[in-house]
Amino acid sequence: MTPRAVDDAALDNTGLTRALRAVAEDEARVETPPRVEAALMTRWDEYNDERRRRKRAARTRTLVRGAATMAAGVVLFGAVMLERELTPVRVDLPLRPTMPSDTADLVLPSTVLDSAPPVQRAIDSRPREPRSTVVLVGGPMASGELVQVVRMRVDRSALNALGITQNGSGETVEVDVLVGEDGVARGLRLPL
Amino acid sequence: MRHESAAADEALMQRTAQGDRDAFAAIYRRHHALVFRFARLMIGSTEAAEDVVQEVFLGVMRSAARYDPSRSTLTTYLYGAARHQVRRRLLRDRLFVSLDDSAPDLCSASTFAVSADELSRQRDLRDLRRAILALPPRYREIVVLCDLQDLSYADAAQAVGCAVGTVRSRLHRARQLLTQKMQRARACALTPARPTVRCEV
Repeated sequence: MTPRAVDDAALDNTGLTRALRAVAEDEARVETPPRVEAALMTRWDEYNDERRRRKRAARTRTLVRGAATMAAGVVLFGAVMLERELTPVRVDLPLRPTMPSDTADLVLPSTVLDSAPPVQRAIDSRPREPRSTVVLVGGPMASGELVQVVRMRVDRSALNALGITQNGSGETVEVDVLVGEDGVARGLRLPL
Repeated sequence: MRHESAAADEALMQRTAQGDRDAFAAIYRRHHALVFRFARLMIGSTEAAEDVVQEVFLGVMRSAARYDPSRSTLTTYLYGAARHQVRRRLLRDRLFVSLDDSAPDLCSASTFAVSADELSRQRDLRDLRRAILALPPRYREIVVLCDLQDLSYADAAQAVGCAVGTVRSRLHRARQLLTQKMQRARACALTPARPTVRCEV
């Protein structure tokens, strides 16, 4: 349909409709310049590159956070397990000067792991039925001092060299070493 | 046919949301013309219309994932976005006064006038374009959508965000205003220009 001009006669509604159609047809020939599409596609590339980069960074952050959380969990678990193994025990001894050669019969709590949470317990030093011998060595043990019990397997000859005799037949003896807060051994517990 | 087109648009929008460059390019090629023409007819400037097209499709690029086909077709969505950009532009341009006294960019597609009839036709079209641009925006957009872009009243109502009855009444009023403006323009053209007289004291 060829565009038609507005009649010079009275511009009624039909005439206006025709004129509007002519404008519409005239306008239909106008095209968007190609530079608009080129500019848009450039913006698309920039936008998506940025979006991809941000996604990658977010994924890396998530991975790092997950790994850090897992490492913290492992460390915490290990610390809890170690804490259970090395339960500090409080030894209440009578206030008197101690000598390295002193010996005392003590009943110490077992160091075997159990399911109950670690509790600091006072050792009842009152003589009961003796099951082991404690040889006091090193510096004097203060009353109420926290000690740790470390179980070691020691050659019998080494014990003999220290002047400690122990009845038994094996080459090695399992002893519990009482280690003070300063890391110095305070005593040895020997099985009878 | 229309449903097929809408389904294709929906699929393209989904792919665009997933970062498919070709889908975005396809959406642009399918719809750039209607946005460009709408903006050009509303603002009367080709450069401003190009800016509007860019802004509208940048919006599509950023918010393709949020497009909900159950609310409107992509065409209506684009008209709505274009209308928003045009209104912003008109509001901003209202703060400035052009130093150029010539007519706005009402360039016709064909500039080769070959006959008196063609010249007359072009003059009439220019007058009508001016009259359309002189309409208040709420009337102008309805004329552009319904009379120049051939949108149905329902689609125009959805694009503009009003009732169909409002579209009808605005269109009626807009046509009245256009008729008056055209008659006035014609009367001015028929009146001979007054000669300039130098006054000597």
